[in-house]
Formats: sequence, C-alpha cells, structure tokens
Amino acid sequence: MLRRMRNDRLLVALAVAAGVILIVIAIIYWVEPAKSLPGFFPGHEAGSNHHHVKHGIAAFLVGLACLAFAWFRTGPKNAASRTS
Amino acid sequence: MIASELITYPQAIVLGLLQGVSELFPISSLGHSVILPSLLGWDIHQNDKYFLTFLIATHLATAIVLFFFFWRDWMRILAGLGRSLRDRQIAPEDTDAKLGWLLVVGTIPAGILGLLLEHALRKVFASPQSAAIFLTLNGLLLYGAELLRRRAPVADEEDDARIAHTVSWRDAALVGAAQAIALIPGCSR
Repeated sequence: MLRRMRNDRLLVALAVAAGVILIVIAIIYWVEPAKSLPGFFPGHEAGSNHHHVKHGIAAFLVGLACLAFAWFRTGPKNAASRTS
Repeated sequence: MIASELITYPQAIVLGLLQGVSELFPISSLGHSVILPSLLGWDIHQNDKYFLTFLIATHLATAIVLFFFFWRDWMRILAGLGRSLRDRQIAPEDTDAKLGWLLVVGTIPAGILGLLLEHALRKVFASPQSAAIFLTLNGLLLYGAELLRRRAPVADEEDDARIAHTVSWRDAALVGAAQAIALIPGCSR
C-alpha cells in the first residue's frame, strides 16, 4: 500500500510538472517567432517571423489536461481509496 | 492574383450549401468541397491559401450552428465538467461529467495529430483525385459499419448514458486518434 501511495504521489508530481512546463512552452510559442524558438521545438525555422499560435494553444490545453488529471488524482475519492 | 482564381459569390453559395448539407452525414463534407470545383470545371486554385481558409470558414460556420442547435446538451455537459472539478471526482451516476471528460480525452490526440500532419495534409486539399479515392474508401467503410451495426445488440439505455458507462478513457483516446483520419478530405468522422 505504501508503494502505491508513493507511485500515486510521483504520478501527481509528474503531471503537475508536465502541466506547468507545457503552459510555459505555450507562452514561448505565443511570444517568440519561429526563428527564436529553441532548436528542439517543433516549428523552429531559421529566419521565419511566423508565430506558431496553434502549437501554443495545443501545448496550453494539454498542460491544462495534465493539471486536471493531478487535480482529480488528489481528490477525496482517490485519497479515500489510498488510505482504505 | 487574377480575378478568375478567386471564389465567386455564386460558387461560395454552392460550396456553403454543400457544406451545410454534407456536414450532418458521415460522407466527408471536406471531400465533397474539394472535388466539387473540379467536377463543375471551376477555375479555382485549390492549393492557394484562400481556398483552405474558405473551407475552414465554412466548417467554422457549421460548428457554430451546431453548437447553438445542441446548446442545451453543451450546457449540461459543461455543468457536469464544472461539478466534477468542484468535487474533484467524477461521480458514477454523473453521466454528463463523464461524457464531458471523455470528449476532452478524445479531442487531445485528434488535435495533436492534426498539428503534426498539418503541412502534409495541405497537399491533399488541392487534390480532387485523392479526395475521390478516399470518398470511395469511406463509402466501403460505411457499408461495413452498417453491416456491423445491424448485428449489434439493441441497447435500452439512452445514447449519452450508454457512452458514459461503456466507453473507457483508453477507448476515448483511441476514438480521438482515429478521428484524425477525418482530416483527410474524403474520410469522414
């Protein structure tokens, strides 16, 4: 049971971290043009002034979904099932 | 850009009508909009940005109309999502909340795949031949689905409740991923 609790906490921590990182990535997509994006970002293009708004929206929504997952995972129902 | 390359008002009306009628059936409104200009011999440059923008605008228009048509259902589902967030759990009897989250889970893979395939898909928007091939394949798929549907047991539950009770999170993600196939003109959701 202890292991399950640890795994659950780890999962929640990972979901929160992923959510926050994805929201930061979304802001970068909205603020920076394609030429200024880090090289490993999908959509990076040297010399392009295009803003990848849709990439930003997708990253933002998936980030929110990660945070929602963490929110439910730490809800009363899951907390009760962990302690029972 | 010369005038003959742009969509005229009568052509826009015909394409809009076609979109409005075909969107409601599983026959790919997009596929029909891509092949119609070639069938009628219209001088439209389908690989130009304005044609794609026009098609997106017609889809947006039908989405807005359908949103208001199903206004009460959307409000029910949104209220369910709100309840589940407030209670931090999806109550087993709350079919609206489960349906809402299934929609969220199903939309994520479709959206990601759409973004990843965006550039590759732009080419097929200009090809009535590929749209015609995919429309034919879609017809065969529909025929197969109809045969399966006839064999399926009749459910007593209302559709929303049945979906909420029987569709798992994994199923919803798979449905969402499969839905990305509809981004190809000729393939329907």
